[in-house]
Amino acid sequence: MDNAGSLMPLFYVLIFPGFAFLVAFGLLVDFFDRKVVARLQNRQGPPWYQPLADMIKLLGKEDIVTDHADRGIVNAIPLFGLAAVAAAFLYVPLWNAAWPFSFTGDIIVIVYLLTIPAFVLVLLGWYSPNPFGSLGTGRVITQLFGYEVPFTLALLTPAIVAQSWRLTDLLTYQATHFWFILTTPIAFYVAVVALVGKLERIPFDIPHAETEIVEGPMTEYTGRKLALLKMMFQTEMVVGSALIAVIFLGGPHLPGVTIPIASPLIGGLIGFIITVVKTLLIVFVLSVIKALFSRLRIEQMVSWCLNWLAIPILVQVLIVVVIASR
Amino acid sequence: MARSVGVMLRELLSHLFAKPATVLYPLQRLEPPERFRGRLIWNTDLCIRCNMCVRDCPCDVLDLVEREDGAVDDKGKPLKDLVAIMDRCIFCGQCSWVCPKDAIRFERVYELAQGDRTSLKMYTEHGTPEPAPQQTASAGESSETENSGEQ
Repeated sequence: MDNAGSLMPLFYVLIFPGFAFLVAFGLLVDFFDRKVVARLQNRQGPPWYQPLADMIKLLGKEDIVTDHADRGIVNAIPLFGLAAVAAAFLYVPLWNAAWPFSFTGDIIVIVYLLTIPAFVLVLLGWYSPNPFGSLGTGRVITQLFGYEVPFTLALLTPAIVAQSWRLTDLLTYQATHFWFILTTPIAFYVAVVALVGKLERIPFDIPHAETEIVEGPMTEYTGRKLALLKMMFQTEMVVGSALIAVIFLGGPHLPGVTIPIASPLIGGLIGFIITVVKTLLIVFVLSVIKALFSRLRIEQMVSWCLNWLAIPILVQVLIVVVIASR
Repeated sequence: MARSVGVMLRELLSHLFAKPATVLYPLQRLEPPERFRGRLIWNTDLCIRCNMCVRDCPCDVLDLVEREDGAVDDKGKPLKDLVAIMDRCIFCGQCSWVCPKDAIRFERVYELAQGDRTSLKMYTEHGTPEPAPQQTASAGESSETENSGEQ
């Protein structure tokens, strides 16, 4: 019993809800995204196993490091990014407020860990001898200034309302009050749009604009390392979507569905399914945005973000602070 | 801008539950158009070796060459066969358009890929072509009779 208890954290971190589940969910979300975009564009879309097949193909390919590239950095960076995203996922409460990894300030830790993939891309481009890599790096940094501050503020606005830096407290607040999508709608909008920038999806896919700079920082990457980078983006999409689902859509809480407290297993399962569905809902919104727009130029993107993300979120924070201080 | 986004969004969402325009290719296949130019077929019996296709081909695909066994016809002239270097072909259809006897035509077969370019082939057929779905059946027979009449 004691032995099993000491193994539980390992199970949490490696299997469920940790790394293995995250990767599987990432593949599912990737399939869902591709299928929805395909159907919106009047196409059939891939079969359900396509993301897995792509991943296996990449893992089986020859592992090449270009000349003049720093071998150690090139090998370490993709792992570093994936590890950061996987660590962030542990702090997102998926089924109820009694989350094993919850602590005061976890929302800040998640925001911090979700910034690391951008810096991973910066380092990739910086240590790559390819001019497309350097160009992409410059764009990653420029774009970072557009979305990062609004994203952080958008996630922190509900925390100001709930007077807590703890995600599980936000869940209990939403269960007893309204969901934050109703009380802070501007913050929700800013969070979703900034997440598009964070994931570098259309219309903010400027750092790896395929028609201009091949794959940007990832140009020289192939095989295992590219698989890890793709996995990093997939899992980042899962973490970002789940985070928004938890912070703004109430996570496992659904009005009218009472989770039985007597059996934590069934209650947890119901809450888990509700959270997954809400996460897929956010992914659906991201897919519609992807199908709806075309790529902006970098200076359009930054000025748009300053006008339509930074200013609205400042107004939102001001409203929240004024109401909270009364 | 908001209006155009709204129009676009409505268009996109209307596709979500409509039947997709594409099919799952190896399992389901779309029918190519009626005049699709796919595999090249040369009919040895209809052909009168007039050399028109060889002269008209813009890519030097076709050529009439004498048979290797040195066979001759009843007038003592060497028999010739049409040969094609198919990796040069651009499927422009000039050869079949110019042919006075409809002896060269394109089939509606589009899966022509091969392992190497020398394996790309022109296919040959003999005799009157069997009644195809197009109107070629009656046309083929009439040209056959014309052919015999000239001889």
